[in-house]
Amino acid sequence: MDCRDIKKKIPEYLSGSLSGAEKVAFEAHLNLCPSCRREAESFRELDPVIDAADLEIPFADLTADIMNAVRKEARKEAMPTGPVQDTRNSRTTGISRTRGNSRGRIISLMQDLSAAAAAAIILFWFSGTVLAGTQVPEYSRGVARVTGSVGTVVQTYIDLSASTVNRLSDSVKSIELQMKGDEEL
Amino acid sequence: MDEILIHKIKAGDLDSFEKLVSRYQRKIFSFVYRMLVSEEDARDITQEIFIQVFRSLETFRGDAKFSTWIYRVASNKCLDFLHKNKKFRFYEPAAGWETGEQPAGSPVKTDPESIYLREEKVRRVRRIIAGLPDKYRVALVLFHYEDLTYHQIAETLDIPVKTVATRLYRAKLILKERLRGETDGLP
Repeated sequence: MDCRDIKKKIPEYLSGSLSGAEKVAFEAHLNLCPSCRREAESFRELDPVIDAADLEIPFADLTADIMNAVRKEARKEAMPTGPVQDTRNSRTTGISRTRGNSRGRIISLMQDLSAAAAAAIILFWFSGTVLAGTQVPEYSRGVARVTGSVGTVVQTYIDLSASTVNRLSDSVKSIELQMKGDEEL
Repeated sequence: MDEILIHKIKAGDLDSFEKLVSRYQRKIFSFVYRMLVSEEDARDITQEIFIQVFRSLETFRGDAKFSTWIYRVASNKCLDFLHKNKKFRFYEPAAGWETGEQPAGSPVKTDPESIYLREEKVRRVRRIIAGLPDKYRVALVLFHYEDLTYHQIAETLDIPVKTVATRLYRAKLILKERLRGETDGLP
């Protein structure tokens, strides 16, 4: 440690806060360096001067005032959520409630998106069949189930839609037969 | 004791909070008064500190002692207040400021000249301390008047112990040099 380091450590030394090894090094330096010794002495004289300059603290019992303010605060926080013990959690509760709402909204959105995806798959998969007026093959329902793979909501959509498409396809076929018969007549 | 009270407060017991307030209000008020040197401001800020403690107690995990934690809240409030009111700060306030009471136990000379010189010196020291940069002053107040150790100050102010040592050194260096400067300037 040089003089600069030593001088910085004077208040620490005087307060007894230096560790064993640091204290030994500090005192060894002080024994060899009159300048640092004088500096340490001037700091030593300063401590009682600082202590003597402490202010006289006015008497104040603020417990009642503080508790009035705290009770008001507790009531204010209690309003939306009820008892006091819940109120201090109100921010947290509020956050988790908001998070819960967002989660609900996200699930609802996901369901809507799944439904839309299922509808798109059905249109893409079966439109050709409908237009051709042929029967939807049984395996295509299975394929649709696998392709959708977005849970029961989608499955239901696909099943319902497939049967509707089949019914539509039957109707188209019968209309065609009727038209053919009419032409033959 | 504090841990038990805090546990009860977290369970919604306001009476326990009242006990905590009566345990700490005097200590915190003294610290705030020493920092702000205004009784009125000290009362307001002390109240704000306890409201803040009430609001934030949920986040107190017990990693530090409650006494350290409340000093941290108090230090932050004081520094914030001093920062916001910088423009309006002046250093001639408060009862006890000008009287220069001598701490109990020190040898007291009672002749008028000694009393005058002693009071004059105390006034000067108080003025210089009040004029120190806030970060130095808070360290000085915590160490000399609140009897916190270097480690406790470091925890309170959330700074390394080394920084506490540097701030105290600089505070005292300024004090020493200003005192010498004022003495040299005297006729």
